[in-house]
Amino acid sequence: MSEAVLTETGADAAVPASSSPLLDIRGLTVEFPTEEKLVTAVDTADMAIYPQQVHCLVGESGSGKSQTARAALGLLDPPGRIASGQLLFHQSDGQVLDLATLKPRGRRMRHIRGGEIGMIFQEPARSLSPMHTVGFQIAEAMRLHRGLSRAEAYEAAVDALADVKIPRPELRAKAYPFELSGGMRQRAMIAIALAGRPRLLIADEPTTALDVTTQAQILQLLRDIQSEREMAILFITHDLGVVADMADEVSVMRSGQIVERQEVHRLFAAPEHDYTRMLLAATPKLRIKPTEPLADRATAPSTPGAQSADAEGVDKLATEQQAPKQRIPEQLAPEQLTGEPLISVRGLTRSFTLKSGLLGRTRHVLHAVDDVDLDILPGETLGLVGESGCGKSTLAKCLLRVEKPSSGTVTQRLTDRTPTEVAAAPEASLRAYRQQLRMVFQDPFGSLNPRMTVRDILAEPLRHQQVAVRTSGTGARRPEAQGTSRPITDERLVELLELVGLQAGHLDRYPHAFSGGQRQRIGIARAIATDPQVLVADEAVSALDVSVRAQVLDLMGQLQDTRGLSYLFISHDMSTVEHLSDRVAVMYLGKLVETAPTAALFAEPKHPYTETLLSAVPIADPVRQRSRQRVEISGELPDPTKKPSGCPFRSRCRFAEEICATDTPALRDVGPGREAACHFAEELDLTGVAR
Amino acid sequence: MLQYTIRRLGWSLLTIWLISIVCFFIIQAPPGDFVSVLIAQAEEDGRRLSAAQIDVLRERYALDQPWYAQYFTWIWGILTEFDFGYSFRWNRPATDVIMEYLPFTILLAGGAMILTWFIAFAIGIYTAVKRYSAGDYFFTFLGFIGLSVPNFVLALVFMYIAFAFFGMTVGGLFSPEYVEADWSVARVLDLVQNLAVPALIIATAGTAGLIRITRANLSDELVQPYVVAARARGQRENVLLLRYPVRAAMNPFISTVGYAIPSVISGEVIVSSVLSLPTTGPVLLGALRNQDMYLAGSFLLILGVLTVIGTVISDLLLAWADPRVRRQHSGATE
Repeated sequence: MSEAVLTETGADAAVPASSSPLLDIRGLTVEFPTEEKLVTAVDTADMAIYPQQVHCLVGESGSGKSQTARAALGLLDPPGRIASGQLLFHQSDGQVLDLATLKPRGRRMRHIRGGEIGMIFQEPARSLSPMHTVGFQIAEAMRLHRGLSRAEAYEAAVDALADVKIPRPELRAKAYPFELSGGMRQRAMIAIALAGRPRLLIADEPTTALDVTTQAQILQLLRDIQSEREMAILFITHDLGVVADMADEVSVMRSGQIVERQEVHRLFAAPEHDYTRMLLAATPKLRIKPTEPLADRATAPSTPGAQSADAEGVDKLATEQQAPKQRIPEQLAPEQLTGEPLISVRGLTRSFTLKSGLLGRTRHVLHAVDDVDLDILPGETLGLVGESGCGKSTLAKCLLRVEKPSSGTVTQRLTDRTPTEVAAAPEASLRAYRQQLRMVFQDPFGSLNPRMTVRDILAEPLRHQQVAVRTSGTGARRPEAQGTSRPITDERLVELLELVGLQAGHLDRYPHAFSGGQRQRIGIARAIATDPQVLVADEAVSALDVSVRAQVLDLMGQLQDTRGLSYLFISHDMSTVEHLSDRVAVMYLGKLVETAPTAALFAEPKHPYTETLLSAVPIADPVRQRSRQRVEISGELPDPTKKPSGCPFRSRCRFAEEICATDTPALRDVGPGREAACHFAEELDLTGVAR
Repeated sequence: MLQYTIRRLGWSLLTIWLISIVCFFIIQAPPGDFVSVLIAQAEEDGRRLSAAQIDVLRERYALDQPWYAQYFTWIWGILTEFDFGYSFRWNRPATDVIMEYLPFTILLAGGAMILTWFIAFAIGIYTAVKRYSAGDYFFTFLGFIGLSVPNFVLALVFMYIAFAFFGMTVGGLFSPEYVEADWSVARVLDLVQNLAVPALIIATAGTAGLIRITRANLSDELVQPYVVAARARGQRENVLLLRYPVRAAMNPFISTVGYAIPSVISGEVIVSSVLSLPTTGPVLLGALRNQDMYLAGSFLLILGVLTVIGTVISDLLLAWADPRVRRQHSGATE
């Protein structure tokens, strides 16, 4: 393959000439022999990690990043094996050890693991045994590498929890993993990895499963620990924002090959390889002004080699099929956002009762959505952001009436000129409404029935639509009277497929034949089949790789232009929201704390929580990211059943005063098209994203 | 945990009470009452019960009272005096009949269960760790044979092999020379020896199933990230295998307690018949066929109670072993 040629310019320049690498990976090839074929996960990769450096290994899913790291520790899952290459590790005594030659289960490798090289993983929830306390698992590592007794090891474990800034470590040591928050679990994992005082820490997507605020805290912790302990970090990630924040050196990996290696500033300023350029272009950067479509840039270097074996990476087919590129969704100016709202939510509350105690007599009421007012205007994209567990999805479910709201109203103007109330409407009357308000789901794999062909999947909502038209008619059937009751012909389904960049030939295939990006396109086609006016996209692009995500976002933008769709775009990813939305609503513990036009919100937030969120988003530009004024992010999302009195955010707010504990601030006007729920919204001078 | 235990016990008491009512109605279901059966029996023998005798009997069993009073008398007798009623078939109190067979049955079923655990534990772990190896295929093959061949056929085969090749008499509790002997070390050894074969036969089917469950569960756990994480902190393979994935895959073992206890009474009727073992299974079958309602009802009641107790025990054991069960038993409701 032509692009396998390593662009190494500048790599050496960044390396301190005096020191030798801590881990020198030379020509590493990792193979997975399966019955059908030999899969080469890592293909003659070269990489050098120097002491006290943060080396980021970046690439999309399936590129071989994790396998490279796992090979170094002999942790390849069977039948994976190191086919060739060296993994030269410089031990503290000066000896050089080739890790590739060690027996994966031998004594020396076990000493390296945890003792010389520590590792943390992507999913802290699943990387800790649910059957054992956190303290036990840290103590285990202490005993293995420090030769401590059982009691000493446990004490050391408690100290280690304090070192990773977990409050009340004695208590947390006795907790089981499922009793801790995601951030605390990852801190515990870090404590385990550091127990043997390793000189290299391998962090495999350590923040991918975490909220953006937690991610910022964990990254800060890793930076502190790295400088404190003079450790090197091999940081594996797909997120260029994180790279810009953390890296000294960067290696870019694609289809098992390292295509570029550069010092971080050089990489972002002058990427050498087409693939790196594509990745950079496809990453939303909290942009300065509206620019050309992401996918345009994302697919520019579509070389023949881009088609990797596993159909991930560049969603090639889609790029071939797409009509001439549309511009990016231009943000509507505040004065353009007019018209009667299509959906108007007032005082919406959805509460759950949690029972505990003997015979379930102790009850906690959890307000997942708490007195929310919200409008969705024609043609707009409304972004809904907030940490996980803040009620975003429950709100969406209430709109779709999948959840029945406990109180409040949802008024819609989708099916009729006159506003209709749906919050408490009987199930049978909702059919027409649900055809106008459709949903795109997060998981492209779980949201398509694997036993249905694409034809069945797309025809399903149409079939229901016909039934609806027939039954809603006043006696006489008038099939010709309404366009919606056209028969479900193949042309119609093909038309839908082509709208989302797929082909007629895909009609009879099953979902498993498609890549993640293509499946999400099918999901979108299904959603728009009934010609709805509003789409609810709940984390619709979160599971996709950067380049594919850019294409799907562009597709959504195009569909909005051609069909006049409104979107409720729910995401925890601020940069994606900024890229797509006209207006943004920020949610915290079930309450809306701020709504504003996108540009205004990002430039000048009016609520401290918005500021916190913005500050936590790493900007994919090392210069901007590292020169930013950082806002300290304190604490974690409180237990929703123990919401603070008054302002829900006051427990984490650096401006909190007495009034915040006694009076709950209401959402009020604080500027043109802007609302915020903070007592001091006008007085505070909050930091937005530097422009 | 305490709350959980109390709640669990409370529910099981309620269940047992409901079971006792059902059993009572089953006993009462055939036409005629206890005394009329006695009268008929006496007539068959050519005797005649005097009116006074009959009245005494009717009063004794509260037959002149409404049904709830009869139920109360019946259940009170069981609770206070362990009096399960009278078996016409055996012409003895039902309690005597049950007590004659129950201890041995518990011994046999308990032995079979422990055997099941040991074999399934070892082979389950082996087949999961060495998946798709020759050993795995061998044990899988063996397991499926155990699963598919009816136990009584196995019993016959074992009897034949034992007799033809080892000169052993399989069947019954004791070898002929010890049947009437006094208790001694040799007699106990003989009992164990005689128990081993039936226990093994009864264990086969359960073992095969449990091996498959263990293999499947453990295979899922072996690829969990926490196993890789334990490996990545330098733990030895054997230690981490037993400490993490095996521990997580143990739940089905604990669940077997729940259904093993009821099988003590009802299970293995055919095997016991073939091996002429004095277990409760054939007795229950006989009682049902002969409409010996007090005996049958007593068995049903004991069976039901044991099932509930077994379930409670396995639930509590599960909660004790698995912190996820122990610490999370409140759910969200409307």
